[in-house]
Parts: sequence; C-alpha cells; structure tokens
Amino acid sequence: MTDSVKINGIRLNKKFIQVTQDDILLKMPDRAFLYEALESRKINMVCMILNTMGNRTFVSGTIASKNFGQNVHTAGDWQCNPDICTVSVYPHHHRLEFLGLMLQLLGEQKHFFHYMVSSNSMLTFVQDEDHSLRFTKMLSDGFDLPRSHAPFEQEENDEQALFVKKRYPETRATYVEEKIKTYGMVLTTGLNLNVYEFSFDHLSGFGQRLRSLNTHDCFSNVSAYMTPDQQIHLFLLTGKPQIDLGQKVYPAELLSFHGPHFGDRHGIMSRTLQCLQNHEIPVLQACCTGASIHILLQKGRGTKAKQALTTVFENP
Amino acid sequence: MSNKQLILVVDDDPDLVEAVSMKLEALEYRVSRAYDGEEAMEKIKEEKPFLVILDVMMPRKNGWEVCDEIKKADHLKDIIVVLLTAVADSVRTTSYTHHDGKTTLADDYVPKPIDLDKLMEIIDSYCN
Repeated sequence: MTDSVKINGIRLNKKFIQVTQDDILLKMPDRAFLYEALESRKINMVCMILNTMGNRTFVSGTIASKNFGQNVHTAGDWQCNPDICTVSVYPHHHRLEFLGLMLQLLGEQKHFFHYMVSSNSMLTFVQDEDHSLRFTKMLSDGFDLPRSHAPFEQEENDEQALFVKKRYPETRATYVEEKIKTYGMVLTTGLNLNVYEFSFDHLSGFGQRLRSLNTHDCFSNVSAYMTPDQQIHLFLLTGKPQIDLGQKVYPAELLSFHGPHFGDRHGIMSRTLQCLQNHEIPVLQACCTGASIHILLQKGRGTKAKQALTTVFENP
Repeated sequence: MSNKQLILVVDDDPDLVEAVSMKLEALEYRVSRAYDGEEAMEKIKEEKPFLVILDVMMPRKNGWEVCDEIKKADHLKDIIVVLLTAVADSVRTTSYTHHDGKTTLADDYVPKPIDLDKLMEIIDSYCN
C-alpha cells in the first residue's frame, strides 16, 4: 500500500460498449443526439459524459452490450467501442489527496482509460475490459480498503433480487411518472473549474503535485478523457482555484441531483439536457455515474437552471 | 471526534449511502458504510453500531435476512434497525410478516423514496 488513503469500496462492471458522438455543438438538421436516441429506445446509460469545452465537444455513454442492437449502431453519427468495463471507486471523502494518489497510481502503472467521471459517492473509470483485473488490483493494493468490503464484481443472477423486482414493479426503474422523483437538487456556487491538458506521461507527476496541496481540500467534480495520442484532458471543479496547477480556470457552478432509481436512467439525462436547451441555458459539462447527475454551468446560470429543472423533476 | 453514536448505513446505491452519511455526519454522528448485506453483517459484528439504516433489496444478503440475524442474536438484538423499503405499503407494523412470508423484527421503517429530513428525525428520536 502506497499510503493510507481510505476508500469505501470498489465496483467492477463488465460487458459494456462505449458510444460516442462528436461535434455536438455543430448545427445539423434532423440530427438526433445520442441521449435522445437512447431514450426513445429505452436504453440505459450506466455512465455518461457530455463536454462542450475546448476543441473537442462530444457526448459519450456506457451501455450494456446486450442492450445495444444493430439498429442503434446505424441510427446516428456515433462511434462504438466494444469490450468496455467500468471500475468505480467509492472514496471516503472527495479530497484532493485521494484524487492525487489515484492519478499518481494510474500514471505510474500505465493504466490507460477512456473516460473518468465523478458523482457524490464515486469516481468511475471507463476502460478496456482486458485491463479490468490489473486495474482493481492496483486499487486494492494502493488504497486502504475495508477488510469486509463487498465483492468488486456483483453476481447478476441474484434470485432474491429478481424475485422482488418481478413482484414489486415499484422497485424497478421503469419510469412512467410525469415528474421524476429526486431527493432534491443542490446548487453549489462560487466554484472554479480548473482545466488541464497534458501527456499521459505527466499524469503521475500531476497526481503527486495534487497530493502536495492541502490534502484536506475537496473537489466537487472531476472528469477526464484521454485521446488516442495519449493526451489527458482533465476538468477539476474545486472551491479554491488551483492556479499553481491549472492551465485555465473558469468560474463555475454545479447543479447536482440524485433520485431513487437514477441508476437506470434512460430518459433522465435526456430530459435534463432538453430542458436546459429549451431554456437556452448552456451546459459546460454534464456527467452521470452511479445514481447522480452533475451539471456544470457558467457562473450565474445555476439558479435559472435549477428553476427550469423543477418543471421536469420533483424536487422535495 | 464526535461522541455521538455510531450509525451503519447500508444500501447498494452508493449515492444514497453518501447522501444519508453526509446528513448524519453534519449532525455529528459517527458513520460507517456498507454496500450489501454480507458486508453489513461483517461490520455489525465488528463495529457494533448503535443503529443500522438498512435497505431491503440488496445483493448477496437482503435487508430482511440481515435484520433477522441481528434480532435473533443475543449480543446484537439491542441494535436498532430502521428499514428502507420501496414496498412500504405492505408494512403494517414494525414487526411484520411480509407478503412473501418473510418476517422481520425491525424497529422502524422508512418508505422509499426516502425523505432525508424525516429519516433524520427518526434517527434522532432513537439516539437522543
């Protein structure tokens, strides 16, 4: 173990396909966005990232291979990457110390990934399935994991769960509600979006520098993607600007929400983004993993976005 | 460190575990987390929490089974169990027989989707 940084758990999910649509800010007649196409087919995304910042604008979603038929492959202008898995880490706290060690380990052990997305409870990596065991070993060796942790990979055929799901439709996430329930929307203002671009070779050093900052500082959101030429594009949302590390810093706000069945969320992200588009509220980034949705907005846009979304979601 | 009681939060939805834990920590409770029934039982035996907030439908071991194990063990039976259930309509008392014949001896239950403030009121009522 490198250092005693506590995590609460690790979860590995396999048999996914990654679907990516680029240039999403380009105006094209009759173009369907990926999330709209998936919503109309009731296909769930376990993880999603939408980016409108920098040179590459895109939306990319992680979808169970079994749900992704040929009709979706050819239904729009997207690329598909098969044999994908997700590895989620549940940090004990969202401290920079945790993120720094994570990035340091990834760099030192040359673990490439496609995307990284965070929620209130987890940090999820989308990566090739071939590397999943090496990845989970790196995590369990590198972090302080509870001795009695749940298995990294859950069994799919849990008879009890299947029985309950069949008997009680309420426990299934088949949303038919006019207004989808949430546990409430949280708007955090006064944040700073630190944007970095560097080669994968510098990831370990970046992680070390992050760890050398105040280790008790927390991050509100982090996302990243890696290009085929091994460039990392990383977006770190913090309370204080990390000027000594950041190449660019933008004032930003975070709107986050979470619902009882958001883990199955075909339609939830789509309704969110369509609502914000209808109200002409630009989104810097949108991320979801686990059961949380994170929307990153320009400074001053959060209140209007929250008001707009209460027309679509039930906000207690 | 807080002197308040230790509460174990158990759900296979980590975002819900985190949301509940953050509320409890803001109220200065000590919090432990588990993501399925087996892990919960390990932590219950190891840490002896004062109260367990327990989801019903979970992998490996469901909340009814965990609750029964707690309440049938002499050294654990005083631990307070609050069930989180999406099928609360079928719950008539806190010592109830479920529609499918499962009986639990939970001390209380909260219907899902949970009202976090209501849940905190219930926790406070047991802890204070």
